[in-house]
Amino acid sequence: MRTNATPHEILQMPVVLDAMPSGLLIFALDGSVLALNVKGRQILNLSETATFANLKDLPPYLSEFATLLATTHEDLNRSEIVVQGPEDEAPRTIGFSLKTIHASEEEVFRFLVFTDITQVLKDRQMLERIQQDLFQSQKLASVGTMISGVVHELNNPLTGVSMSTDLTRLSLEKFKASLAKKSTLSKEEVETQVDEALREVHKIAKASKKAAVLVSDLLTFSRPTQMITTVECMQEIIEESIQAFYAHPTAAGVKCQFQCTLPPIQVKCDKVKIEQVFYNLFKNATEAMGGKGQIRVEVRVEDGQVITSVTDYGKGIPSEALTQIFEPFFTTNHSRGVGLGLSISHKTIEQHQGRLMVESIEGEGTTFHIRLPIYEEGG
Amino acid sequence: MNAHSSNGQPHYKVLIVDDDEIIRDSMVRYLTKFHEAPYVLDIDSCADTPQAKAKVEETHYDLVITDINLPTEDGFAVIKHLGQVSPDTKTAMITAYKVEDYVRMAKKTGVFNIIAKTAPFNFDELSTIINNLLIPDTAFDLVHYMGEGAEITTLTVTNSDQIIDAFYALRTFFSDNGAKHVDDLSTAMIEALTNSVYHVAKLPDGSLKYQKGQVIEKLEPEEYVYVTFGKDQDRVGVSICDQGGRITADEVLYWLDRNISGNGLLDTHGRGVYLIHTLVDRLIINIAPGRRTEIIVLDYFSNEYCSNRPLYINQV
Repeated sequence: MRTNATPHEILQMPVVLDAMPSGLLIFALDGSVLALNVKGRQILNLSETATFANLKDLPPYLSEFATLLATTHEDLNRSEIVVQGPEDEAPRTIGFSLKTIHASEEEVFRFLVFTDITQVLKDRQMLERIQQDLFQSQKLASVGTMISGVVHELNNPLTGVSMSTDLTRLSLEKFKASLAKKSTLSKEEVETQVDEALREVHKIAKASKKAAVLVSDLLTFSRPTQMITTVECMQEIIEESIQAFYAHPTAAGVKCQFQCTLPPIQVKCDKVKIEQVFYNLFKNATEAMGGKGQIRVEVRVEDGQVITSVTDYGKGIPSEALTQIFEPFFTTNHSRGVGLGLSISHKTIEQHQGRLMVESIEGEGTTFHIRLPIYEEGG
Repeated sequence: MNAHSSNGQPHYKVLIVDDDEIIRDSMVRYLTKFHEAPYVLDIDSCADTPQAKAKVEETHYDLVITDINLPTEDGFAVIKHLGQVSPDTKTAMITAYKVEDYVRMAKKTGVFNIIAKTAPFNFDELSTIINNLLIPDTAFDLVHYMGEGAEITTLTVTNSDQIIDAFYALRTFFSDNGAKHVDDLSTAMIEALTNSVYHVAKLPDGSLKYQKGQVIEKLEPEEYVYVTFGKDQDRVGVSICDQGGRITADEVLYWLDRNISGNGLLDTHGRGVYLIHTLVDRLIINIAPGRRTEIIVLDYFSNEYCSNRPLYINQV
């Protein structure tokens, strides 16, 4: 190797180019091809001997790629294109980066590094499937805990339904007996008896609803969840979640404080699911504060992640309960929830490659932190 | 018992602790309006342990019925606190339980009256337990567990041959009246009867007077065992009552525990009781130490209550 070669010259030496593990194509702004290494020819399915003076000379199945290269003037980082050919060769995904090199004032080159990422993509999909399976099996593993939880939690509303049904029957039997005894009953007497039965019927409705909510939560928890992800603005999600929460009657005494001066932060997520997480956190916060007070929502960025904190100034969570709150059917609030909300939220955030964390001081309040990866275009 | 009403009926104060509003309200309403008894209940209720503790400090209750699963502190804390401030108050627990839990809980707390929180809920059973607790004598005798107009027959076993007679009488009775598991039930009841005949009578040195299977020409009158059976429109019931009262509630729990855990497969004690428990809708064991032991089984005609098999042990 000549020691006085310039880097530009070295790059054009076939021995160097061909040693590279990636495809390399150097071309001028007018499209004239200056170099194409062996690996590049293999990736693009070109014969080792064919010559291409210009991008235009590339075979028809690469014309889309060639046009893209000739007409793009900015740099591209980690882009992808699918090429199919020649003839019935399977489609391949080419991952590439395109960069402009200023060798001198006059000499400007475009420098394309590319590789066949078809297999990598397949592997990644496989990995995602494995992750999903794993997630599913972890869910199955907690089925044991769940079943006993379900039995216990469903038992209360069902016992309630049974008790009130019996009381309705007893009330009506008593009513019937009093009708048989006296031929006429005063309006008040009839009303009292009817109200008594109605009261029980309302209790039945209430208990049935409680059981139904449990069953629907359970379905959410056990169904294999398909995520529908789109790129969304975090601040918008928060605003919309707050509005959705305000629409709920339990939010009547609550104010959510949220101000954010950061530029829009993008996250790739299932928006509906993330909004459900916020809804859950707001609902828990409201219950912790006894139905009224302020909830503070804050957003900050750290290490390529966006952290959204939801803080309430309620009764807090005892430290011994903190490690359990994400477990299914854990609840400190027996009369209201069944203890699936946080467990579902936790799993949702994990599915987004994020984390849901909690800090709490008993008597002072609780903060939940939702950590999600920031979406970067082409990243 | 704190007061008497104008018609001379005694008043009993009862506290119900349950965090489920619907269940709490239903129990209060049932006991206020539909519990029939020769006394008046003054019912009070609350939703958690701190409130319950405050109430029992303020008022003397004759009976406290508490849920176990409560928000801040569980129902055992209520029972424990009662033991300190009002040891004569009767207690019962209401919870979703299996017999395994019952035995464990009863051993742990000494509370033998555990009301099953189940659907369908058996209000009659709630009434029976409350009666048994407030008027302990009503726990004994099958008649207290049967509806009005029940036909009840009593056989007195005065020699070993009559064990076989009782077996056939029970078997016929069960099968004529459509009881479930006729053979198993008759066999299990006879095992209980055999135990009562052979294991109750003791020699002065404490050893058994009779060997199992031995022909006994004539039992002493205090060794007689009474087999009572009857039916009403809802159920059949059988009671086996000896005059020993030697077994204690703790012993019953010990034998049941051995059977539940699988250690007692070869036991001759306890196995019968456990087997009976798995076959019938309700099993009640009454113990008056030194006087009598009574095993009562109830089997409902309807399948409604078959999924919950409550077991009660009353020791007076």
